[in-house]
Amino acid sequence: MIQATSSDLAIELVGVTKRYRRNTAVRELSLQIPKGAAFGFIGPNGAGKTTTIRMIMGLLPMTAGQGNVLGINLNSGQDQVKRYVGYVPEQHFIYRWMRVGQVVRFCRSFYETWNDKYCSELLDLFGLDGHQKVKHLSKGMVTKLALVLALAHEPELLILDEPMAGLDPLVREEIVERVLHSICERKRTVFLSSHTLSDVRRVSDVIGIIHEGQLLTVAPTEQLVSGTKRIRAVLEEGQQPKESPEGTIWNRVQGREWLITVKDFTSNTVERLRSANPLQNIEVIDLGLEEIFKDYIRGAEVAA
Amino acid sequence: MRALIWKDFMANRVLWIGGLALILLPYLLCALVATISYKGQAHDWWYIFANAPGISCMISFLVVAMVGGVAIAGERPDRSSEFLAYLPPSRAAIITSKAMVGIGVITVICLLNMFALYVIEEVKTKEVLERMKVVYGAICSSAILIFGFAWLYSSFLKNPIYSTGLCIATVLLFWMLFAFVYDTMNWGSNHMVIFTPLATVVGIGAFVGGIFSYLHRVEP
Amino acid sequence: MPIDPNGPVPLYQQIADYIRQLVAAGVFRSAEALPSLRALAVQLAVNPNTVQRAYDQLEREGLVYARRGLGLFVAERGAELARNKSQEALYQTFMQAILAGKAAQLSGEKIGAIFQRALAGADVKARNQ
Repeated sequence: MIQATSSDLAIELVGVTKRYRRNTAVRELSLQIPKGAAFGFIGPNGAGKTTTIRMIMGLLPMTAGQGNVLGINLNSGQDQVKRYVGYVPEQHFIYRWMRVGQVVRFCRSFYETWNDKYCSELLDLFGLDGHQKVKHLSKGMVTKLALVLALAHEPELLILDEPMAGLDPLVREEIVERVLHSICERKRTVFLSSHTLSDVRRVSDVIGIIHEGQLLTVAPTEQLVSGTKRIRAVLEEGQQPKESPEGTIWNRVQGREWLITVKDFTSNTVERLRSANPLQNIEVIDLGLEEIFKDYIRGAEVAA
Repeated sequence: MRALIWKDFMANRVLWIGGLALILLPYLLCALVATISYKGQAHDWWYIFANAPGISCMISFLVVAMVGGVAIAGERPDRSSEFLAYLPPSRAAIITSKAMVGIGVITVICLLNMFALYVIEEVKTKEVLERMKVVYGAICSSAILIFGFAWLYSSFLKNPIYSTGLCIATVLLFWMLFAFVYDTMNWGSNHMVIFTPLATVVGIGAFVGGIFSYLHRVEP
Repeated sequence: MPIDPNGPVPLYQQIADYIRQLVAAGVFRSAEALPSLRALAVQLAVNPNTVQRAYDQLEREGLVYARRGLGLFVAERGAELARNKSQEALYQTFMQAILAGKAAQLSGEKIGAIFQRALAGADVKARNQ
C-alpha cells in the first residue's frame, strides 16, 4: 500500500514527456492541480490531452519526467492510481452484452470505496434501469452510466476526457450539473478535457491550454478571460510595428491595422505600446474564452 | 477476481454452449444414422456409433483453438478491453482470470472426450487400457499445443478470427513437420512417445509466451 | 439563462449582477435568504467557487450579510444599494460606448448628440409598447 503524502496537490507533473518512435506527443509538461480544484484542459485534436490523461492514470509509462497523483508516484505505483480515480471517456466500450445492473455489480467489485446508496441514487436520477442491456442504451444514456460508474466509488479525482462530445445539449447540461454537484458536495478534484469551451468555463477554476504536446498557459479561469485583451492599433501612414508589448500571445499586421492579443493586460500595456510604436489610434477589445483559445493556438502555430 | 472470472465466462458463453453442442453433435448424428440403418442389430449399431469419438475429437480441437483464440483478442474488436483497462484490476489479474477460464474450459472438453472414449470401448482388457492411455496422452497434449498457440496469438492480435486461424495453420504445420522429421529420422514405431511430451512442452511454452507478450503490451 | 459563458465578462461578475438585479427588482427582499452556494452553483451550472466569489463581492458591497451557519441574507438597504450599483453599471456601459466612439474618431459633441438621439428613440419605443 502506498500512503498518500501530506501534499495538497492532487496532480503534480514535472517535465513529463512522452515520445513515440518518431513524434513527441507530450513535451516537458509541468502542472500542479491542488486538491479540490476543477481543472479545464483545452487544446486542438491531437494536442496530447488524452496521452496526458493516460499517463496521469498510470496506463502509459512516461518517457521522461516525474509525476505524482494523489500522493502516488507515477514511476513506481502507477497501478494504484486507478483505484482512486473516476474516469469518463469520450467513447464508451462498456461490455455491450451486460445489463446495466451487471455492469454496476462488475465494477463495484473492484473498489473498496463503492457507495451503494449513492450509486442507486444516481441510477434513479438518470433513469437507468438495471435490466436494460448496455447495447440497447442510447449514447447519452451510456455516457450517464459511465458517469455513474465513475462517481459511485467516491473517487478523490474525477477525470473527464471529452465527455460531452456528440451529446445533445440536454444531456450535456445534465452531465455538467452532476459534475458540479459532485464538486459541491464531495470536494472532489476534477480534471476536465473538452472542446465545449462554455462548459469548461463553467466548471473549471483553472484552465490549461495545450498545443502539440506543449502547455501554452495555465491560469485561473476568470483571470485568463479578463486579463487577456485584444488591442486594435492603427499604424501611422507607411509605418511598421516596432515592438510588440510584453505578454503578446499573437499579433497580425494587415495594412494599417495591427491586432495584438496580450495576456495580463494592464493600462500600462497601452501606454508602453503607444510610446514604443508609431500609432494613430488604439482600441482595447474584451475577449471570450473561445477567442482567447484561438489566439493562443494561432500564436503557437506562428511561433512554430 | 470472481467478477473477472464471471465476465470472462459470460462474455463467451455462446462459444461454450455452441462448442459443447458441436462436440456432442457427432454422437447424436452417428446414433441417428446407426438407428436408421441397423434397427435391432445391436452389434452393427455400435459399429457405426463408435465412429463418433474420432470426429468429436477433431471438432474438439477446433473448439479448443477458438477458446484460446477468443481468450484475449476477443475483447479487442468491441474495444471492451479499453473499458477494462481503466478499471482497477491489474493486467496480471486480468490475464489470470482469462487463463483460468480458458484452462477450465479445455479441461472439460478433454475430460468429455476421454470419458466418451472410455464408455465406447466395449471390452476393457489390459492391452486396450494401455492403448487408451496413449490416446489420452495424444488428445491432451494436442489440446495443450493448440490452446497454447491460440493463446499466444490471441495475446497480441486484434481479432479472435486471426488468432484462431493462425493457430490452426501453426498446429497443422507443427504436425507435418513432426511427421516429416520423424520419418526421416526413423525413430521407430511408437511416435506418440515423442509427440506427447513434445506437444505438451511446446504448448506450455507458447502459453507462457502469450502471458509475457500480454503483460508487456500497452493497451490500447 | 442569465449567465453567458461565452462572453468576456467574468462569470462571478455576471452572477453578482444577476443577484443585484433580483434584489433591485424585489425578488429577494431585505432580511430574506439568498439561495445557498451549492443550489445556485447547480442552478446556474457554474463552479461553486465562482458563486462564492460573487457572494463575497456582494457582501463587501454591503448588499448582503452573512449569518453564521444560515447563509446570506439581503441587507436592510439592499434594494437601494443594488439600484445604486446598477447606476454604476450603466455608467460603465456608457463609458464603453464612449470609448468605442472615441476610437472611431468621434468628437465629444458628436457622441453627446448620438446619446440624445438614442434617448429619444428609447422613449418612442417605450410609448409604442
